Amino acid sequence: MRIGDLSDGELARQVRARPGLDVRIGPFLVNLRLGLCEPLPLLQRMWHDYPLEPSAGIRDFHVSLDHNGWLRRWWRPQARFTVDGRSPFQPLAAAHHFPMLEWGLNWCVARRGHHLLMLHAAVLERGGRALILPGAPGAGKSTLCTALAHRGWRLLSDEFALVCPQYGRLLPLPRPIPLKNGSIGVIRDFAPEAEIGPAFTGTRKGTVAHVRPPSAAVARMDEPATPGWLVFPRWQAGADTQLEPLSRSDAFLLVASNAFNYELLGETGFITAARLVERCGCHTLSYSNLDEAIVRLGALAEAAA
Amino acid sequence: MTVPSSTAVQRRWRLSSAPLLEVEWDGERLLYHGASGETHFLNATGARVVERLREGDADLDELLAALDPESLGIAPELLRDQLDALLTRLDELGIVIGTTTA
Repeated sequence: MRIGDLSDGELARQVRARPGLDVRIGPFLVNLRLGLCEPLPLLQRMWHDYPLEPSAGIRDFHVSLDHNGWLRRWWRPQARFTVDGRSPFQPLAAAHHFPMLEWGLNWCVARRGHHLLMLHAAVLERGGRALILPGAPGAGKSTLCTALAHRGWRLLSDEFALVCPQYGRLLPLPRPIPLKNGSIGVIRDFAPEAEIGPAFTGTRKGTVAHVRPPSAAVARMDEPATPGWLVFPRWQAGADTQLEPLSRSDAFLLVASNAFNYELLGETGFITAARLVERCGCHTLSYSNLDEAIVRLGALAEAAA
Repeated sequence: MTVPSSTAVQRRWRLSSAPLLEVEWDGERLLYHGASGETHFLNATGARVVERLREGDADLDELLAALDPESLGIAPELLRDQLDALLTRLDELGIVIGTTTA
């Protein structure tokens, strides 16, 4: 059963009562409880395809979103995110409930997923091979990722490249993609079929709206992909589209500095990152035109087919 | 850590016993030093020094011979200074250990 198969009432009942809702998101089992009802409609849309696994043995995270005290229900309402009973962040405006839940889950993955090498990167797949797009904030990673996910590439993740040290494969973690500010309009124009949620204004990242992960991506989230390409994108207004080769040693440096846990993993981090770089074609991409960028990246996949 | 370099004493160098992992692409070598958890980039000279020390202890002259200054196109005295500085740096990083002999 998926979240979308629950009626509104049943979803509200399960998520408010113990033991909460056990949801499979990629390799993680998340136990979710909500003390506020505001996120429910969006949760049902954005998490629509995630399977429920009430009988699963190991929960990776117990997360909840609640009112921040009795008074804060009514006066400047605030919401508090907790994981395993502890609050890693200051409470935020209750109106930012869904972004807070998603940021909270990012925190959980980044802090707990140390059995994997984790890069701050979007990942998509074509022909069984993964395109990894590491990117600093502002590099245009999420915009490019969303565009590719609506042009024939399977979304594995917008935020985390999860590399399995044992086999070197990329594990899918398809979650709602948070578009920010100008990117929201860009994607509305570029991919009218993309399901975009409401815009949350005044968040710490400006205006944020989430794109629902394509159903096919969620349905295949148990299918890893082998490394194919490491492409470091950089969006720049007016830039020509340039896909340039990058040396492996430079790519390694960027991968290591982009990883959440490279140093923490020690030798395993070095070996996993080195194998990843070894198996990938490495490039930098400068672009301002999404269509052109997609054509160039598509050509990489076609050349490898 | 050993004492700073001096031409008055001859030191022998060896690799530390900590695990060293390496990969090489296009003449550049990446070295993971297990004791510190640090990753280092070595150029061709640095890579050859580590290779030579894997074969066994060596002093500066032996390392210079292994580097073959002529093939590198560097004046032997300049290479000697560069090598001395490199070994001092590798020593500071804990990758090599220098022992002073009389």
